[in-house]
Amino acid sequence: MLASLLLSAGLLLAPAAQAADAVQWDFATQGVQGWHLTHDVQMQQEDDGLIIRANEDTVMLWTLPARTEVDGMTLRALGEGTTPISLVWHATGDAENAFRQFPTVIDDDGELAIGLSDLPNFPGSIDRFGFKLPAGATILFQSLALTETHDSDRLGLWWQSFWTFDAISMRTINFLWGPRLASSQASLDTMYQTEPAGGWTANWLFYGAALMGGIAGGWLLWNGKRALGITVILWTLGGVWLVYDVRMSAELLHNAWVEHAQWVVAPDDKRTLRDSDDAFRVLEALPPLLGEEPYALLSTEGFSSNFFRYATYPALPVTASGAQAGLRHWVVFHRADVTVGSGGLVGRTGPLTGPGEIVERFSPHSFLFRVTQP
Amino acid sequence: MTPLPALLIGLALPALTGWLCVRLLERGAGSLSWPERLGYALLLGPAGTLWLTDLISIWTSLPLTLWTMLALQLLFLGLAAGLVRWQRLPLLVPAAPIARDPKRWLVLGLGVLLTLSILKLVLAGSVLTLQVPTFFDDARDNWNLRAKVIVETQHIPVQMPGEDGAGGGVASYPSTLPLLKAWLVSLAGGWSEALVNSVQSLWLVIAGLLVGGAVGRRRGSAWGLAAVTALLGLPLLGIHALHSYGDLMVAAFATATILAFFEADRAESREGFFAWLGLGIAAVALLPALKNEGLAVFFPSGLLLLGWVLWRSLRRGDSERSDALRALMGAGIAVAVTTLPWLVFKWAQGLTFGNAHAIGETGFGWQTGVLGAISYHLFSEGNWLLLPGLALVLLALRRRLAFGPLLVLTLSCFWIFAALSGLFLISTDLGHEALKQTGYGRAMVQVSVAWTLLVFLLLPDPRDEAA
Repeated sequence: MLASLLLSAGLLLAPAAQAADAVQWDFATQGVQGWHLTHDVQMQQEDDGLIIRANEDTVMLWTLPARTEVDGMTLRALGEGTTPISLVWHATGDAENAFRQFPTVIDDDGELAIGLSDLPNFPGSIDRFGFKLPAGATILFQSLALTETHDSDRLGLWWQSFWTFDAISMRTINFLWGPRLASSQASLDTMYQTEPAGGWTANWLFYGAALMGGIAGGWLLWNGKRALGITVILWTLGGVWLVYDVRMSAELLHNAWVEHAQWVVAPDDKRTLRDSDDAFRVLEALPPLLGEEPYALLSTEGFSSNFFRYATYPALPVTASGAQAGLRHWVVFHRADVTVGSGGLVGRTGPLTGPGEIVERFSPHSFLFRVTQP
Repeated sequence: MTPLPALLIGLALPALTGWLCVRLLERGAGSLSWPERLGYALLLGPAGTLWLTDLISIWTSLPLTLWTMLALQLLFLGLAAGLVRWQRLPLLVPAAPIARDPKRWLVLGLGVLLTLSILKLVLAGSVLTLQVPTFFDDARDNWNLRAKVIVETQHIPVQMPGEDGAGGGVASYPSTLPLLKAWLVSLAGGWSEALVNSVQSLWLVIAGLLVGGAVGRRRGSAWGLAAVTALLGLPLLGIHALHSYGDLMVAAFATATILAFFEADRAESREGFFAWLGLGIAAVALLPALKNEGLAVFFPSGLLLLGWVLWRSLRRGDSERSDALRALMGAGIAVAVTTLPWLVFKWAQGLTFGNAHAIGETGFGWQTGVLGAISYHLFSEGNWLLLPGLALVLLALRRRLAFGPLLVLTLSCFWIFAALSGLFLISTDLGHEALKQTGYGRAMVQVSVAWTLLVFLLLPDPRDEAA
């Protein structure tokens, strides 16, 4: 409870960190005039941006005012599926052709925010910035903002990032990132979505505080006040430990609260867990429908079939296509490419089963199909 | 039976056997504080009786129904009670005292902090343990699934359902924890996710009782409360207390082993020496029953520790050669009962040794980058608060205490840390896990409880300095 109170206070008191745009570019109105492109590309101007199709590996570079200080980037762009690109920059003072790059991807999310100061070898001061596109890439570029956090905003940004919590995910059982200090608004926005987490570890604050207590206590010890010196050291250590404990306890309670809202008390058809969308609703519904026979599983690659094995045991999922023929039950999970025709289930390569019926539809692309005429 | 009574009865029955075993080992010595007695009873009873049940089942094909498991539990209880009666041991003897701290306000404040820590875990557990579906890999594919298989087939699995080939992966693990879950499910009369996942809290309770009891007995109530509060605050330990993994169980056993041998080394009476030595031997004998690394790393380490403590005792003249032989014979019998049948069964069934990867399948050599990954995990992430840094500083500044009176405790803690870290540094499979941060953290869970105990015995006390 103490942790929750402190958490609330922390969030309420946190001054909103403001990052001023250092430079911006609007592809919808400005195209790529003034940009340097290493190869010819196909361009198509749209109301909401500029579509660029690269025929071969192409670097597109924007020349910035000399010594532009930036620490964050927000690119609004859409790719076809997931398109790998690299951020490319030229550091002020580097040799003319010494460019550095950082690989990333553009997906259909629409926005790519990156804390540039978190990247290895990002100098802070640059004079050119752009992207390296692979041959065949088609991307709708909308806008680019390179931002810099003012020193006056930095304390607020650190406070806000210190109290930003990581959500529970598969890695939580192995390690917890702990509190971080974001270096830019972009770093804060994506802090626990990147690997490693954005910003710097806040552990050094705790170590610093403990060290100050150690120095003060050590000075007293040196002057013969041993009991007092040790008392100062212990109370400092205890205080620092407690603050850190409160931060991590707040994260645990926050996550429990979020999952209580999203899973425990949410309406039946709205329940979600972590990054698994409706998967656990499906897993919960399956056992009484399946009995104990093995069943064919057509699942999305991103979700382990072992979840199904655990939920439906002793009924076991069969994932190998060669072993699925003749099975009565077919579980289709998040597979838009699998449909039901008059002849049965149909996949990309043709019919999968004989005629049958949908026993239960869980979502548009997830259902249990029962073969009636093998 | 609903899950809560099943949990309480299912743990109380073997814990009672565990209590009687502690009485048999402690005899009239009164060496343990009451939290330590309870901790050892909760540790040795459930794990010991379920492990023996496991061994009986795999060697006789005895089906693991509610009635056979209940009968075996009552048999173990009867045997332990019979031995206690035969030895004419009282059920209760005065425990080693925990000195009350004269600063009432300090004890009260620490009590409030400890209560808040417990409340935090109860609140989080009421959602994450009791109401959220089983989520993490090993909980789903190993510990809980094997319990499901035992409930369904009434036998210990040597092959996981839906997997080709026998003997590899988690099927080669000992089944103490899955069997404990299956036992509770059998009592409840049906599968309950909340029930099988809530067992996890047992290991944290034991860890807290052992650390709090040991520190309290040696340094007084305030220090004991502070140690338990600190332990419950360790973030990654808290995560493991709320989710069904086996590493916290290993941590509780490793701590029980190290504490017992450390106290045997420091015992001032012959009775105390044998009491602690017996508890240590019992804990060592059960280390192979926990996980494969329990057999590969902790079990040989425990035997080495036993030998070292006996050697120190002989060298000091505190015990005679006949005492050492008696202790070694006791250890031999315990190992013959708990470990040999398992080893023979593993070889006979072709079950692999090693962790998730068989020892023979891994390559060895210095793993570049792992040292950095280990340092980052220990000092720059939020897993252990200030514990690793504090431990390092204390080992340097309090070295006379650490490598003097606390030598056995210090070197034991250091050894298990170095042994586990060393494996990650030289094994290709484990090195990869350390770089991807998928395995090293769990190894540190296994050593964190013992290190918390060491740190709280190393911290200086201003009252000592004032005196």
